[in-house]
Amino acid sequence: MQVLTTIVGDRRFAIDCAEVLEILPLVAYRTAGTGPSWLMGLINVRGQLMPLVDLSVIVDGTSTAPRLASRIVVMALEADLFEGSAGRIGLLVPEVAGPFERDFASGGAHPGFTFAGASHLGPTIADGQGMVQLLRCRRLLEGDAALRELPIERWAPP
Amino acid sequence: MARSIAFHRSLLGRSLLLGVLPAAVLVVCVVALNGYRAWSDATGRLQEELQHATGLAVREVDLSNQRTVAMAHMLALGQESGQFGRRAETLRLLERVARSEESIYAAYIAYEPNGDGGDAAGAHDGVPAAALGEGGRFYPYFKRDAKSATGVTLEPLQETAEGGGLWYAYPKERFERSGVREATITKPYSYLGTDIIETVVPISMNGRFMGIAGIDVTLTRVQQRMDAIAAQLGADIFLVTRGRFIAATTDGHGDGSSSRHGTATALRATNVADSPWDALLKDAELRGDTPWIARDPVTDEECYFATGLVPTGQWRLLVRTPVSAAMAGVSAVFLTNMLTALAGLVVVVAVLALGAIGTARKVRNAQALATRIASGDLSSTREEAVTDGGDESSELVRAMHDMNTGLAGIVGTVRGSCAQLAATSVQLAATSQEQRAAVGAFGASTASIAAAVRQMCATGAELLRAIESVDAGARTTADSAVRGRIRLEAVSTKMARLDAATQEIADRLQIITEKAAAISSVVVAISKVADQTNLLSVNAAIEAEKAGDAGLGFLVVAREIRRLADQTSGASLDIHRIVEQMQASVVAGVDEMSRFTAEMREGTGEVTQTATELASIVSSIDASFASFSEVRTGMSSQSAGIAQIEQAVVQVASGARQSSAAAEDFGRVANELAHAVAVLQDAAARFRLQSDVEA
Repeated sequence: MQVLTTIVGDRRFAIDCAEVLEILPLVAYRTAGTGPSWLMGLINVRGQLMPLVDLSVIVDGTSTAPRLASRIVVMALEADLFEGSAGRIGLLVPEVAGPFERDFASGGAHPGFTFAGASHLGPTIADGQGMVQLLRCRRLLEGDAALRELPIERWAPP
Repeated sequence: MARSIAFHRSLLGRSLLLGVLPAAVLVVCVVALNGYRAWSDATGRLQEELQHATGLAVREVDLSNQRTVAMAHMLALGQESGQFGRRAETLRLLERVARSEESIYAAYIAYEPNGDGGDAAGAHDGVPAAALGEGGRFYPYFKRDAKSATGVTLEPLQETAEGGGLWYAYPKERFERSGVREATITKPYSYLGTDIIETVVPISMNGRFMGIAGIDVTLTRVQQRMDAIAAQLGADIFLVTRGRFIAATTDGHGDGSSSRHGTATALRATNVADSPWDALLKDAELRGDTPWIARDPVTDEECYFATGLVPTGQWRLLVRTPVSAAMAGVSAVFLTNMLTALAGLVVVVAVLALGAIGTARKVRNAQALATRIASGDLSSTREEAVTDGGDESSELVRAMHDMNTGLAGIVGTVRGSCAQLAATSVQLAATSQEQRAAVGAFGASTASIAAAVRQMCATGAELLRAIESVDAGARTTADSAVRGRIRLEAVSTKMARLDAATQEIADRLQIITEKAAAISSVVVAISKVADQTNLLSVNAAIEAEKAGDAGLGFLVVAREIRRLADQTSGASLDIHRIVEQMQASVVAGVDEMSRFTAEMREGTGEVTQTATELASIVSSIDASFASFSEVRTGMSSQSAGIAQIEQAVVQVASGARQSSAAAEDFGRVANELAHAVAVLQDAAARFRLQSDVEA
C-alpha cells in the first residue's frame, strides 16, 4: 500500500494514503481552550472549519513544537465525532515523507499488540530506515471511549 | 787474566756438540729405521708362515676325516650291494676292515631288529653269539685289542644312554627325515671308558633304513696326530668339533701341568663353553684365515692366532704361537745393530776430542798474550811468542807479538804530545773566562734599555688604537643616523598610503555585509517556495494514488517534483549557511581593520618624532669629527718615532747576545780540550813500555 511516514518522538509511523484527503502546511488555528489535551482547536480549510488534533499527544504523550516542516493531514472519520465538522479532522504531525510503497501484511511483519486503548496501532515492519508502525488514523478518535475521556493535561510552565 | 770458559762454549765442547751429536742422531735414526723394517718384515713373514702351516694342518685333518668317512661308506655300500643278510660274510669283512689301518679303533654294523629276517636263526655256523644283540639282532663290534691273537676282538654293541642315541638313533632319524645317505660324525664321548669319535653311515635298501655301518677313532689317536703336527709347526693346536667340543689340544694347561706339548687329556671331549678359550674361539669363528694377535686367556701372554675350517666334519682348527718366541730372532739382530752403532760413535768422539785439544792449547797461548796487551803490559819479549807448528793458531800468536811491538812505539809518541797540549789548554781557559765576563756586563745593560723602549712603544700604539676606534664609532653612528632618518621618512609616507587603503577596504566590507543580508532574504524566500512545492507534490501524489491506474503517470511527475523541491531545499540551506559564515568573517575583518588603522596612526606619529631627534644627533657628530682627526695625526707620528728607536735597541741587544754566546762556546771548548788532554795522559800512562821495566 502507499503510505506517508512521519516521526513522533523517536519512532516512525506510517499513514495509509487512502485515509488521507489532503496535506496542508501549518496554518493559523483558533485554540479550543477546553476538551482533551490532544484537541488543539479549529482550522479553516477553504471555508470549512474542522478540529485540529495533535498526533504527538495521542501517540507519544507530548505536544508537538510547531515548525516550518510541520504538516496538517486532513482525513475523514467514519463517524462524525465532532458535530458539524462533516467527519473531517486535521491531524497535526511533525513532518511528512513519502508516499512510499510498503507492505504491512508481509511475512516478517509483527501484527501489533491488542491492549485496550491501542486499537489505532497497526502492524510493524522493518524497512531500509528501521522499524515503522502503521497508524490506523480513523480509529484514533473512535471505538475507544478511554481515548476521548482523557483528562485535560495541558502543559503549563512552572 | 784468562777467563774460565764454560765447557759447552769451549773449542772442545763445540766440536763435540757439532760433530758427535749429529753423528749420534744419524746413527740412532738409521738403527731405529733398520730395526723397524726388520721387525715388520719378520712379523709379515711370521704371519705368512703361520697361515700356510695352519692351512697344511687343516688339510691333513681333513684327509684323515675323509678316509674314515670313506671307510664307513664302503661298509654301507657293501651291505647295500648284496651283503645285507649274509651275516658270516659281513663279519669277515668287518674284521678285515678293523685290522686294516692303525688309525681305526673299531668297525661295526647294526641291523634294525630282525631287519634281515635272520634274528630267529641265532648263533650258527660262522656267526658267533658275540656278534648278536638282544633277540638275535645282528650287532657286531670289532675293536682293537692288543691282547688278542688277531689284534681285534668281537663283542656285541652296547647301547649306553648317550652313545646309542648318538650312533644309531640320530643317523636313523636324519636319514628318514632327508632320505639322503650321509655320514654322521659324532661329538667326542666316552664309549665303555674309551674317548672316541664315531663316523656312521646309514644302510639303505630301496629307500628304507635297514641299519648302520660305523668306524670309531679314539681321541688319543687324534691327539697323537695333532702332537706330531704341533711339533712340526712349533705351535699349539686346538681342534674343535662342529658341536664346539674340544677333540684334541696340544696345550697342557688344562691338567695343571705346564708342558706345552703334553697329552692334555683333561681338556679332551669337553665343551668349549666350559673352557677358558670360549671367547677366543667365538672370535676365531668370525675371522678369515689371516693370523691375528690376541692375549691368551690362561697365560695372559700375547700370542699369534690362526684358524681354519676342516670341510669334512666342519671342525675348527686354532693354532697359537706366543709373540715373544716368534720374535726372539728379530730381537737378537736389533741388539747387534745397536752395539755396532755405539762402538762407531765412541770412535768418532775420541778422534774429534784429540784434534780439538791441540788447537785449544795454541788459542789459549794467543789469548794470554792479548790479555797482557789489553791490560797495558807491552813488555813481552819475542821468546814468549815463539810456538811450534804452522797452522792458523800459530800464525795468530806471532801476529799478536808484532802488534805488541807497534803499540809500544805509538804510546811513547803520544806521551810527549800530551804534555805540550796540557800547557796550551790551561792558557786558553783563562783568556776565555775574562772575555765572557766583559760581554755579560754589556748584554745586561742593553737588555734593560730595550725593555724600557718596548714599553713606551706599546703605550703609544695602544693610545692611537683607542682614538681610532672612537673616530670610527662616531662615523658609523653618524652614517646610521642619516640612513635611519631617510628610512623613517619613507615609512611615514607608506603608512599614510596604508591608512587610506585600509579605509577603502573597510568601506567595501560594509558593502559585502549588505549584499550578504540581501542573499539571505532571497534564500529564505527560495526555502519557502521549496517547502510549498514539496507539499504540493505530496498532495499531488496522494491524488494520483486515489485516481488508481489513471494517475500512475501523474504519480511519477509528482515524485519528480518532490525530488526537485527537496534538492532546492538542501541547496538553499547550504547557501544560507555559507552566507552566514561569510557575514561572520566580514564582521571580524572590519573589527580587525579598524583596530589596525588606529595602531598605525599612532605609529606614524612616533616615526615622525624619531626622525626629528635623529637629525639633531647627526649635526652634533659632524662637529666633533675635525678635532678627532688632529689628535690622530699627532699620535701616529709619535708612534712611528718610538718604533724606530725600539728596532735599533733590539739590534744592539741581539749583537751583545751573540758575542756572549760565542765567548761561552769558546770557554767550553777550552775546558773540553783541557779535559781531553788529561784523559789522553791517563791513557798513555797506563801502558808499561820496555824502557819503564828497565828503569
